[in-house]
Amino acid sequence: MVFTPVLVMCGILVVITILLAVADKALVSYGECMVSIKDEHGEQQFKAKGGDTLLSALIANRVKISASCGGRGSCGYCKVQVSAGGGQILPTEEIFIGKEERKQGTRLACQVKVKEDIRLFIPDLLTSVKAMAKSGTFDTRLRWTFLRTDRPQIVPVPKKHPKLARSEQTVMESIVEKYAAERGAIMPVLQEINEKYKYLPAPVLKNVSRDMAIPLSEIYRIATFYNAFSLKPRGKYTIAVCTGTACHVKGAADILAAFEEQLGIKTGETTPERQFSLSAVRCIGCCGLAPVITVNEEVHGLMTMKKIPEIVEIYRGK
Amino acid sequence: MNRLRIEDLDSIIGREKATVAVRDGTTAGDTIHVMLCAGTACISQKSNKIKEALLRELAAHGLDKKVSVIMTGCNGFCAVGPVMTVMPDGIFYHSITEADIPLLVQEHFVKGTPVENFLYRPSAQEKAIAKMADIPFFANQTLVALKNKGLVDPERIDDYIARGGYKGLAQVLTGMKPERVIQKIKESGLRGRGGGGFPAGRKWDSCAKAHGTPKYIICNADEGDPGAYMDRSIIEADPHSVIEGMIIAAYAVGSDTGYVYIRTEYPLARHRLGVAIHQARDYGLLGADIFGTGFRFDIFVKQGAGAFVCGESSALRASIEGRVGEPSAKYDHATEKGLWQKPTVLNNVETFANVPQIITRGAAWFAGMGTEKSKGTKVFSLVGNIENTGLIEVQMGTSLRRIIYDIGGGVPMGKKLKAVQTGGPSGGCIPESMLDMPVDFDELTKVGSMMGSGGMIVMDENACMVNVAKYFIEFCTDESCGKCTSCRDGSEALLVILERICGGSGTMEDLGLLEEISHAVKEASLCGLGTSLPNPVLSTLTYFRKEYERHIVDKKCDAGVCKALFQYQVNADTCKKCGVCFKNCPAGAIQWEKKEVARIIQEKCTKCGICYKTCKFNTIDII
Amino acid sequence: MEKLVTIFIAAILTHNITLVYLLGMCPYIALSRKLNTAFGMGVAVIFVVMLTAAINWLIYHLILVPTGSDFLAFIVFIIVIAASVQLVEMIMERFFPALQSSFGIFLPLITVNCIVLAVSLFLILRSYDFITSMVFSLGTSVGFMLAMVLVAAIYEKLELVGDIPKGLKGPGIIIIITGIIALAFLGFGGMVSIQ
Repeated sequence: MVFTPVLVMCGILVVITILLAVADKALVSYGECMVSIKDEHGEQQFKAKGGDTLLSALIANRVKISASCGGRGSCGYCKVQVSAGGGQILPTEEIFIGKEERKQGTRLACQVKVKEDIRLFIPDLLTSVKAMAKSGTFDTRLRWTFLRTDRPQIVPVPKKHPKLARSEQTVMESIVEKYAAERGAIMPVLQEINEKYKYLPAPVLKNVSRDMAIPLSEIYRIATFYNAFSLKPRGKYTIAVCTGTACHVKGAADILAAFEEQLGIKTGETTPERQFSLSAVRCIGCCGLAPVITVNEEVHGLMTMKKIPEIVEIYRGK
Repeated sequence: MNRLRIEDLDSIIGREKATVAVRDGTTAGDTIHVMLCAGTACISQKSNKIKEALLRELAAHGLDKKVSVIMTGCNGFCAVGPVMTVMPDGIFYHSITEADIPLLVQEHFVKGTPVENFLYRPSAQEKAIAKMADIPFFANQTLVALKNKGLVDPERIDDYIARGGYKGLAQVLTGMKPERVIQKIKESGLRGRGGGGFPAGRKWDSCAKAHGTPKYIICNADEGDPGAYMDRSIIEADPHSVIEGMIIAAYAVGSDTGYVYIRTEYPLARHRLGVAIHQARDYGLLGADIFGTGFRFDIFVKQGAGAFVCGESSALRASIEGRVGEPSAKYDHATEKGLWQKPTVLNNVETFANVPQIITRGAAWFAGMGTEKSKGTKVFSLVGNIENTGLIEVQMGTSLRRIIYDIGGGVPMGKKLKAVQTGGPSGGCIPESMLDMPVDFDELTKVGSMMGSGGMIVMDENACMVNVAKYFIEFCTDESCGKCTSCRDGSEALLVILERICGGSGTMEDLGLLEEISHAVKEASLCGLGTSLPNPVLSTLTYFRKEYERHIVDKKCDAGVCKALFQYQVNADTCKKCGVCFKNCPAGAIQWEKKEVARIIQEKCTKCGICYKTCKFNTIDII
Repeated sequence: MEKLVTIFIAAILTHNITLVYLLGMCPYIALSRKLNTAFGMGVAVIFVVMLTAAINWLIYHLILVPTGSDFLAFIVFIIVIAASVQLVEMIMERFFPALQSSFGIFLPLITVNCIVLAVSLFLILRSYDFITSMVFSLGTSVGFMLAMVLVAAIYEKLELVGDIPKGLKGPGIIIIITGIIALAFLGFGGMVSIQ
């Protein structure tokens, strides 16, 4: 039996423990500090042990504050506004605190160490939970923003992608199923979606990517390659001016410029009320009637500058 | 509908004999068929409404039993649409509107006299020509691929069968071995009509000999060349000719699945093709056990999505496979490793449309037309600054002069012919001095142009050749898939230089630079789009160098197109003081008082050209 | 003397603990985004490594070896490292609050940093004496700081100028940069050797 190593081990452990305990007592005790809290309901004060985090002090005193990660600094929910005594903001909090919030002294309660008397403001729990639920983003750093103006307000972070409604999801699934047996089915699927919505909405593409097991990057590659697909919403009526050779020779460029003026948008754009989109296409195949435009699938040949306002008027009301 | 046996073809022919006779004009009698053009162009001019009006008026006069109205595919004479032909007399009416119908019905159908006003007149001075067969535009054509245009209802398969349709297929399936079919196509000398001009027989042969199943037949209906609409018209007028051609090809190479890749910009053609396929399936002409011989073949339609480059064969196959339409290097021929790495035959619509007749009328008949190396006929779309814009079919080897003047009617408004552009963005411009050249694959390539898909764009003296080159390069810059640096960046570089020249800041070094870049792009590009992209630049530099130099040195555009390089000016001596230009100017840039000569204020002038076009006395000069 | 200089240079360049041995990746990747934090971390590492190297060397040669418990080296080193870092933290918090706010939060990170343990173990493996160990640990930690500062500087520039794809922002591009710099450092190999 070899006792010496065991003894040595224990010896070292004991020495270290004593050292740390002494250091703790000597160095790190801050004594008791006063924590004053102001929230919508009023003011309260209590004593907290120096050296604890603010969050543990609050929880010990039954103050309602959300802290999903339990004080590890990874959720960003425990925001409070410290008006005095919090010390400097730590890098671990910086990711969750935006510029505006920082100016107002917002901190994460789990990262603030109580070393002296602290005064803070805590938002109403119910309002903040509602704001968090509304934000809907999966970015852990952007859960919610706590800004205090003259009236305390919670500003929800804007949503990035609207989710699909249940009915739309079913339609998507039926389109994907329709072409399930075909090879190279992504093209007809995208074409049907394009017909239905007049463009390819991002949440729909995400659904398609999941259902067809095709990487979203591949779908975006296809969607941005072909001219018929657009990732931006298009107008109800797409005015396509043919700029094929025959039409070009008969002045298609001037017709296009005149349409730009008439509708107030550039080629490739959509009017604000989403009634018209203007685009240029290469050859519809009605070269005998040059210059030609199509409005959705209706062809209008022998265009003149005079006809342009008439055409716009016909479709404006529809 | 029942599945057809071969004998049924003859019974349908017998049943429809009378109709065919009426439409061919070989019979006289009470029955009248009004063949109303319903191609995309004429429909846009409301030929649907014309049909409704006709039916209404005929019913009103109690003539609806005698007179039938049939909507046909593109008739070809697009300049004067909407058109209709009344058979059996063969009277040709043009530029009909809905409002004309009551008078028309009253005069022609009730009283029996054709209406003078609607008849075709070559020019205002000459007499009207009543019969379609006498009109030079039609008389000077030789119809093969378009032989059924204007004579059949494309949405009725019996019309096609009545004119001998599917007889070629019957002949092939019952009496010919696949090798014999390929032999016949080889003997006919049929070359691909999509632009490449590759001998179809050789292509089918190498696919038949290749290993791998299944084999595929693809019909390229992605007609992207601006100015070309031959394939659209063939499908809108006579889709069954294409279907029959594809089935014959499938039998020859041993394929059981076919695809038609059609542009998204052709909704009517897509619809008619769908109807035709459906009807063929109903008759058992597509699917399993065709004509009871055990041969199976079916066709599926795939839609494009607006990319010109998908007309290239490897890009087209990529698009069908559900990938991005980028061309790939051709280490293996498509006939050995094509669609999904299986042997594939890819041919153009027009190529397939010729096949049934080669079988029924013989390879020798087909080879008897055309020139030594280019047999048969070709459909051209004659557009631009020409009197009779439209679709024509002529024998290979016909001279350009005959096409433009005898069929096309020459350049309107007495302007001078400057150039003819053939082959779309891959082709080149042929100057007026070379008009007597015969039109065939090799001759056109010799002069620096190419046949392409058959677009023929006529340009008069108001076309600026530098601008034309710039236009085509702009097109290619847009449509380049971006894979090859030479095509993607080379076309941009060419565009920048051409824009410089058209803007007035070109130098003589630019011409050398254009040639150098063009040759580099030609050599270093992967696919046909890139290698033929510089053709417009090179051919215009060859034949119209003086115009480039005038743009660079004198900074003048004599054609009046490059806005920075010309001005409109009223010729004070010939001005008739009518004030028409003043009234029409949208920019208010003309100064005119009554009885005074008009004057253009250059600072306000936007060079829109309206005054130039509206002046009846050609007083406004381009300086 | 010559040997000391050789060891010092070798520890920084040819045997760079991060770029050649690929140790200490976690804090390295996490913190080489900003130049300031990288620098701060580097300084903290230098401090901790030197301190713990000294203590560990002493404990090993004065306590463990004489008592024949040298096989306890691993555990003892880790405990000592953890404890000393704690102590340092407490001292800093109390007496040097300014320092605490600039790189105080890095200290707990360093406790589990492989480098600290690796340095202590290398000392044993290579049987260095005290002075040599000090020089070696200084060199190693300076090498670590050098690597961090290099990559952080490159990353900052790249962030401003380049168009880093969304998926590669942060750790992704850091790893790529690290790989390239590591390749460059391979070029130093053979210059000196201390193995």
